[in-house]
Amino acid sequence: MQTAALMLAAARESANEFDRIVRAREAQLLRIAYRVLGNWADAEDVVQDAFLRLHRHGMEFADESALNAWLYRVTINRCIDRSRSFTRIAEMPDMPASDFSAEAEAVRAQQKRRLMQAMATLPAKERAAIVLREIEELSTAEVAAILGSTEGTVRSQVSKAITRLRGLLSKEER
Amino acid sequence: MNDEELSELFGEMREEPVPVDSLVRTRMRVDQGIRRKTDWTFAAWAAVCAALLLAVLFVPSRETRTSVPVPKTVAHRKAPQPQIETPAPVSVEPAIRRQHRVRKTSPPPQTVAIRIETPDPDVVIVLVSNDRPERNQN
Repeated sequence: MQTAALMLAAARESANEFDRIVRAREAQLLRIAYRVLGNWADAEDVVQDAFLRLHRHGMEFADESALNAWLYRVTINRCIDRSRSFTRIAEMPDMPASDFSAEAEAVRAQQKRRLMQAMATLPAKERAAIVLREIEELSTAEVAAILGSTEGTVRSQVSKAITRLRGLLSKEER
Repeated sequence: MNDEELSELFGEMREEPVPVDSLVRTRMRVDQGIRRKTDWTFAAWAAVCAALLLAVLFVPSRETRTSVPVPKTVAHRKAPQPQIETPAPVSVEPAIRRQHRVRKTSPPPQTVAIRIETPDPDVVIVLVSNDRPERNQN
């Protein structure tokens, strides 16, 4: 009976821990997946899959950063797999209220839409590198670990991607 | 667009909130996925436990058979005679015994001899008769 009670308590604790992780990480993972994939529906699929994998895998991580790296890696890999199989035109995200005036806000929204569309033309790995490094501000080492490449490769991918984005956006402005 | 503007845009993108409905949907789908998995796991464990229970109940192991000591009273008691079921009596009609017909044997043929003496002492007439029926020559 005691063993059963202990097992039950451990299962409950594990469920609580899992719930805590989902609540803490879901917004960031959804945002990353959305930036890489360009639409919320696919981003939801990918993040759901990542969390279910985490549940199967168990919470056996050395520390919080190992858990985060694992979640980023699974999410990015699923995003890359998905974006290889099809390409969707980027949706425009709902814009939050800000201190810009309505006109400035509309201009900003337009710029972001164009940036998203330009990002959609990048190769999946470059897009993932830009999202993780420039938008989520992870370190180059972290991005390299997530993408399974070297820091040099990540730096090169980011630099190449930014040059390409700048070129695409300037072409549109003209 | 220069680098500064680009990094400003990236920064704004980072600050953008995720739509609430998207968050809710994701959480619900994760919960459903886990519940489905838990149900399956529970069903699988229940099936395994049931199978083990049945195996324990119905398949006596060799160890159990050998290690159980036989009580003395039982050990010294004579083994009960196996009761053999007697088959129900079958009604059989008595066999009809036919008596062999005794072949009538004909008595040995009697020969009758008649001796007739003649005046001549050297001549004697002997008539021999055999009563065996003569065979039909036809």
